[in-house]
Amino acid sequence: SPGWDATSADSSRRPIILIAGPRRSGKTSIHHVVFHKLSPHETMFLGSTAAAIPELISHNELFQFEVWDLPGDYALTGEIRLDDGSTYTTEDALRRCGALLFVVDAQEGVDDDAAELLRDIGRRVAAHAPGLAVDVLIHKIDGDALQSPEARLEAQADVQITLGRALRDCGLGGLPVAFHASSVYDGSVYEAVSKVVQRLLPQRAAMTQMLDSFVTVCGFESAAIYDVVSKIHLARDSFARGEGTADLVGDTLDVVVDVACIYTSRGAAGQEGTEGTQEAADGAGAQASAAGEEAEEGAEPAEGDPEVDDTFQFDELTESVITLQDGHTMVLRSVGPYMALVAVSATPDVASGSRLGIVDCNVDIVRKALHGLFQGGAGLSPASKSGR
Amino acid sequence: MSGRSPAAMRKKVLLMGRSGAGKTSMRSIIFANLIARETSRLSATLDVEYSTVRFMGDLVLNIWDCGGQEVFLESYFEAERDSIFRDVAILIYVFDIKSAEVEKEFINYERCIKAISRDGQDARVFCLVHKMDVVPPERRKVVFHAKESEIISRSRGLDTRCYPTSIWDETLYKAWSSIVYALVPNVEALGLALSGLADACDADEVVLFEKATFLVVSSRTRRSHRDKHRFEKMSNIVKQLKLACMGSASHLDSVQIANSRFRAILVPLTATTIVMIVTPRPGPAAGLCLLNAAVARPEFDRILLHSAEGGGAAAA
Ligand SMILES: Nc1nc2c(ncn2[C@@H]2O[C@H](COP(=O)(O)OP(=O)(O)OP(=O)(O)O)[C@@H](O)[C@H]2O)c(=O)[nH]1
Ligand SMILES: Nc1nc2c(ncn2[C@@H]2O[C@H](COP(=O)(O)OP(=O)(O)O)[C@@H](O)[C@H]2O)c(=O)[nH]1
Ligand SMILES: [Mg+2]
Repeated sequence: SPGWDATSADSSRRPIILIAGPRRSGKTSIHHVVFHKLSPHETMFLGSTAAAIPELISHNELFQFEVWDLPGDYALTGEIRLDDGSTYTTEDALRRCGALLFVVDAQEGVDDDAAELLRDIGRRVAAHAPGLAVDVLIHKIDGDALQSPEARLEAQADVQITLGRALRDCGLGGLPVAFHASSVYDGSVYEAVSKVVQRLLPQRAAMTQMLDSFVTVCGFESAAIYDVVSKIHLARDSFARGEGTADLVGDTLDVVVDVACIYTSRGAAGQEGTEGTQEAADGAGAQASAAGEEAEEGAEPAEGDPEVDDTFQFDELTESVITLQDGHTMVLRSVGPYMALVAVSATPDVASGSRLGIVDCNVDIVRKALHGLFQGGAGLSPASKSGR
Repeated sequence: MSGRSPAAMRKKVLLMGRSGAGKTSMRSIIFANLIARETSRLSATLDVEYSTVRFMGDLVLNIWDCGGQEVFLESYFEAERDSIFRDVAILIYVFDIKSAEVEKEFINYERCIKAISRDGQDARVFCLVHKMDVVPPERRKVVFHAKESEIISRSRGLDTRCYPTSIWDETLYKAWSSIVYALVPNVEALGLALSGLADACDADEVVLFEKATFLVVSSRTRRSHRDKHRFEKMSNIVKQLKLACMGSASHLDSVQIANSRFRAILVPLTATTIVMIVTPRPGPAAGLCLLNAAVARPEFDRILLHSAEGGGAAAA
């Protein structure tokens, strides 16, 4: 991955998030959907992972860590072979490990092999990174057989009970384990990964407090600060009134990023005043020739390049207001490099002229405060030694 | 002309192609708000499934989704031939790129073309080369062109348009926008009105979407833009948002998005349309664009009402 060595000076202090689990459980999919914006259905084309793929996440000073997508069934024994040929001792990896995701397929349930794998990993954690929590993602919760809420709950309970028992049976009952249901097809995977990443963020409490007062002063129902590249939320207000709109906020981020990508990447062309005649007419494929030509290009790949720099036209003036017919209004404002504040109001008046002015004043305060937190210099830190 | 009883303008749309080609999937995504991944739960269409959708208020599309199983095909071309192929405004033939029985499909296609032209009507033909997502991206162009030239050569000289499509990206919206564009009357007047709005806002471009489907009805561009696929991308993006809103039990009303270079505003224009106004930044204030859209609203209302009446009379 490009830039892997760019900030190697303090790379040893950057936490690693390890993604482990049985084969085909969805590890690589989660990694690509969350950190590369891969469309969920395209995960069907992903091949098996042979060597660990490390990935540096570094969109801004606050949000720096590495994600290592491990091969299936790998029990963290011996050395970890990275896809660039280098190797790493598991002891070192675990020492830098900030979070360990254990992904299981909810449709398949957990068999003895999966339980054994978690036991092996649990032993390594207990030995080399005591105190490190294991986050079990009960993944593919969207499965065809899991459509009813009852079926979902049952599948989740199954996994929890089986894995919990497996750990207790070998004396690992004290290992902190958290369970999250997830699917790449909806917001749940972002929710799960957000919870995990937030634990690594020492500034989170300060950010939460900031959002609490922002929400109170401006009259919003809820507010959160997002990393726009991954849609992970770094902090959210603590009033918990925004449950119903969490997924919608994720969709809002997508729309803002996608539309900005389309309308910011105008070509070198950009000449003024070609009073749209030729272009205007092919608006909906009106002309025979135009339709033919455009169809031709339609055969080219539709997706943009997943590289962050090319597609994320997110700058300090990025803003958005989205209103729903029932009055709900979502306000998005840029508050830092690849960081957006998204606030939801139950009434549309926050977006009216004078109220929006007040909102923007307070966004400015949040922006400055965040900047202050950056200056502090402390980004994410490995949970096992959060005191440094 | 002064009456307020817009006679609905009915158009018959035939949807044909082998079983499993993706006809019902596309129809349901465009007109019935199905999400792409939900299509795997659709069951095969038996015989003909009729649906009626209103488009732009008074344009009524009677969609005949013809199940593609062998047993039904025979009767379409024999016993039911008259009822199926009569008064067709548009034939949409879906070629499944995954199909192994290529020649058989072309034979069926030719029978459709024959049946349609035998009645001496001027039906438009649209061929969708579908499920392009299963073809590796670098091969899509070649695969599509090969298919397209074969289709054209077997269309008996009928005016035939081919589009590559997939339910997983914006190509779906490109193809269906072109199809409905062929049906919407008065597109010239709409275009002129859009020009006026674009000038008033000093906009880079203005695009008119149909409200329910988010298909592009018309557009005007004043400053050229590199991305030729931007309109269908917008259809796709905003339709996803619209569906997400419905998931949380409300309806999308308006969208504003801006950064240091542009501002895009999407607001309801008439009861059945949404307009997108894209302006440069720094540039005109959002409020000015909203005001201009409000001022233009009666004119668009008039054009759309007018087109329904004019078209209705012609069809009667
Ligand atoms: N239904 C559903 N399928 C998923 C989901 N996430 C991943 N999949 C599918 O699961 C399959 C395996 O995904 P991968 O991400 O390659 O799994 P992996 O754990 O990295 O596999 P290995 O590298 O072989 O261990 C793919 O076909 C994905 O499309 C999900 O949330 N829901
Ligand atoms: N890969 C892919 N699958 C598709 C596409 N469109 C439809 N399908 C799938 O094809 C199957 C058959 O679709 P359906 O609409 O029932 O076909 P019909 O018999 O022509 O109506 C469904 O499982 C769809 O999910 C597409 O663009 N790409
Ligand atoms: Mg993998």
